[in-house]
Amino acid sequence: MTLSRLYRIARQRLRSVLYQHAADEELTRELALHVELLVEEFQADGMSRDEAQRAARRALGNLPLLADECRDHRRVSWLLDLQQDLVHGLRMLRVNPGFTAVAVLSLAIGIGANTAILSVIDAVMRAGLPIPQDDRLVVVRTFPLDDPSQETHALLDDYTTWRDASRSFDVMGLALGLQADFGADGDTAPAERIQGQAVTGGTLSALGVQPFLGRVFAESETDIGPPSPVVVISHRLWQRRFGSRGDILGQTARLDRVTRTIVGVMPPAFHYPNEGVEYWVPLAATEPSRLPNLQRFFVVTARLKDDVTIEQAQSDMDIIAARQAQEDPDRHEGWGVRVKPVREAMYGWTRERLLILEAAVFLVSDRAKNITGVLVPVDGGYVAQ
Amino acid sequence: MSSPMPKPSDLLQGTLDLLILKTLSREPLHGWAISKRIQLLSDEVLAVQQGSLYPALHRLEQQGWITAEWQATEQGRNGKFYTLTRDGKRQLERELESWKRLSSAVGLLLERA
Repeated sequence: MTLSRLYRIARQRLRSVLYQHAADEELTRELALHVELLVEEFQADGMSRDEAQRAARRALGNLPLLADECRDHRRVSWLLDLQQDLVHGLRMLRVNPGFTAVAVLSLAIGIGANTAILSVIDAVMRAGLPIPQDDRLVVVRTFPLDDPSQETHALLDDYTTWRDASRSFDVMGLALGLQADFGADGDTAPAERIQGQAVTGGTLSALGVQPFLGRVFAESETDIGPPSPVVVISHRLWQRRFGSRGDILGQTARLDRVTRTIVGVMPPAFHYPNEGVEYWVPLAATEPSRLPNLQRFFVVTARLKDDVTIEQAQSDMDIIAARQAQEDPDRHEGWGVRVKPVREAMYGWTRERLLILEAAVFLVSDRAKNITGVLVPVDGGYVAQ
Repeated sequence: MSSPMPKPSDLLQGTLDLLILKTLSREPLHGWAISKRIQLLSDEVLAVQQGSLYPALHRLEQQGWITAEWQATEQGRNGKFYTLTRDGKRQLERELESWKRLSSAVGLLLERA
C-alpha cells in the first residue's frame, strides 16, 4: 500500500467519523442531483414533470435505502475490523496488561506522527510548484532586527528600492493577495467570491511559467504606465465558468464590478501561491495612492541570476538594507532583509528536512510493529492453553 | 407491433468497479455522467443499475482508488466529481489484467466444452 493511499484512506475514515453530518448531507445532495438530472432527461423524452419524477424514483430505487447502503460502505467494514482488533487486544490485555499498554501507546504515537507528517509532505511535494528551476526563485522579506524570527513581507517602497538597486536578480516582482466578486458577463450562474492576486509583470516573469492561452502582463503594464483593465484566469476558472471555450481571449469578466478583458489562461497545474488562486490582475506599482494602505504586506518574488548564490544575494540585500536605514530611518531603521528559496519561504520546510523527518517517524513506527509482532505469539500461547 | 427491445444485460457483479475506474481514467465525472458514459460507450448494451452505482462509488472512495470534489457541472449545478487517484490507476491496471485473464479463460472454456 502506498503512503498516499494510506493517507487518503485515513483522511476518509476520519471524515466519516468526525464530520458524519456533513458527509450525510453531501450524500443527500449527490443523490438529489442524480434524481434531478434523470427527471430532466425523462422530460426531454416527452414525459410530464410528474411522470418524469416517478420514473426517476423508479430508476434509482428506494433513496433512503440507497443512502444507507452508501453510508455502510463508509462505516461498517472498518468498524467491524476495529471490533475484531479490540476483541483481540482485550484478550492480550488479560495476558499481560503492561506489555500491551506499551505496544498500544507506541502504535498510537507511530500512526499519529505518520499521519501528521504525511499531510505536510503531501502539501509540499504535491504542491510540486510547476515552476521551472524553482530553486532559483526566491522570496525577499523584511524582519525586525530585535526579533529576527518575526519575518514579514515588504513595504511598497522596499520593492522599488530593491528592484532598482539590487544586482543579484534577473527580475523582481510584487504581489498582493486579493479577493473579488466574480460574475462572468452573460453568464447566468451566480456571482461567487474568488481569490486572486494583483501582480506586477515581474512576478509572473520571475515565476517563468508560460500561459496556457494568451499572455501574461508585460512589465510596462504595471511598473511604468497605469495598469490596464485586463485579467489572467486560472485553468480551473476557465473550465468552471467558461466551459473551456476556445475563444476565451478578448472576452470580458466582471471582478468587483470592474469589467476586465481576459488576456490569458494559466496552465492547469499552476497553483501559485496556492490552489485557491483563480485570477491575476496587474498591480499598479506606479500609483501607490491607488493601492490599499497596507504596511508590510507586499510579497516580493525574484529570480536569482544564473551565477549568483543565495548567500551572495543576501549580502547584496544586506548592503541595500543598511543604506535604506540610513537614508530613511523613520521607515527602515531596525529592519533587516532576508532572501529565501521559495519552497522554504512558502512552507517553512525544505524537501530534505521533510524526508529526514519522515524517515525518523518510520523508524519509530517500525519499532511499534516489532512490539506487536512479539505480542502475537504470547496471544497464540494463551489460546493454545 | 415490433418485438420488444431486449433488456440491457445486468452488469456482472464485480465488473462495475472496473467500469467505473475505466470511465474515470479519462476525466473526472459525477455519478449521473458516469452512468451515462458507460451506457453510451457500450452502445447502450450495458445499463448501470443506477442504484448500485453510488454504493460502489463510495466504496471505491473509501478504498482510496478515487477521490471526490464538489464542482460546478456543465449545467452550472454543484456536482460531486470523482477523480481517479494515482493508486486507482494502478488498481485499474490490475483489474484490467485479471479481467483479460478471466475473459480469455471463459472464451477458451466455451470453445472447448
